[in-house]
Amino acid sequence: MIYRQSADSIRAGMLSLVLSSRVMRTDGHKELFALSMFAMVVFLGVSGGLLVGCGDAADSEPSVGRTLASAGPPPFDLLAPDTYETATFGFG
Amino acid sequence: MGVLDGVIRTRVGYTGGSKADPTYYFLGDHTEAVQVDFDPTVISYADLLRVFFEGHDPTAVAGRQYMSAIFFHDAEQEAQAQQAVALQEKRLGVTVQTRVKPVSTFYLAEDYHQKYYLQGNNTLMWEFWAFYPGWWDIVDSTVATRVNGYLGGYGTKEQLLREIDSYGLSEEGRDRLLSLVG
Repeated sequence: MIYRQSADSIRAGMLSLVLSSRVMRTDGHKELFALSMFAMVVFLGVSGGLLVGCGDAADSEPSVGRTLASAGPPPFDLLAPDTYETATFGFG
Repeated sequence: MGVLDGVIRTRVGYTGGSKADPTYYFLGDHTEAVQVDFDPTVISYADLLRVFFEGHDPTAVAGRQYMSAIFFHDAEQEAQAQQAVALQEKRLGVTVQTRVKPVSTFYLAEDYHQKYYLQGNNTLMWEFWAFYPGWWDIVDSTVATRVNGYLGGYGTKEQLLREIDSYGLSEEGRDRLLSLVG
């Protein structure tokens, strides 16, 4: 899940950088174009690192957390009666 | 008390005082207490009173925060509580410090005080996060109440084996819990 979201955001970021650099190149802003290309390289490096990191984090989650993602209440909890009494104690 | 047959849930909190919205660090005149929801067709209030007296030293002198107290919810509980105190004094031959008082607003303690032993076990906590979307749903869960009690060293393996198949645990969680209960 995290991996997919990260990949989507990186694709969107790349697209916006490419489009903005094209606009600047056609307008003749060479310095801005160079700066934009530099920013794209930095962005790709950082996001690539994040992508790898997210993949590792997802893999490190306990397996039970993923296999029981939508398990719902356990059967024993469904046996609890609707009517009950309450007692309250204080013992340190 | 969480492992007793008939106990539905336990929650810890503060009661008996006048301060509004007490917290652990700003308790005011409240007493730390446990609230026990139980099915009276399975376990009686008298049984809970017996477990209460077996679980602590009612003769120990303590401040208001940690005092021994029974907060009754109705006249019948009050009568049984007074009777149980008298029985303890007769059995022990000394005056017990247990106060019998009417219950007042019960303020739930902070989340980190609830299901304390369960929170200390990552493997089993993951199972409960899969069962329920929110922490307070876990606090109200009978299975969480049971597991917390077992992890605290209460109950027996035989008792656990009778119920564990309906706890909904994965094989890993089941094995972990069984390995920790003597």
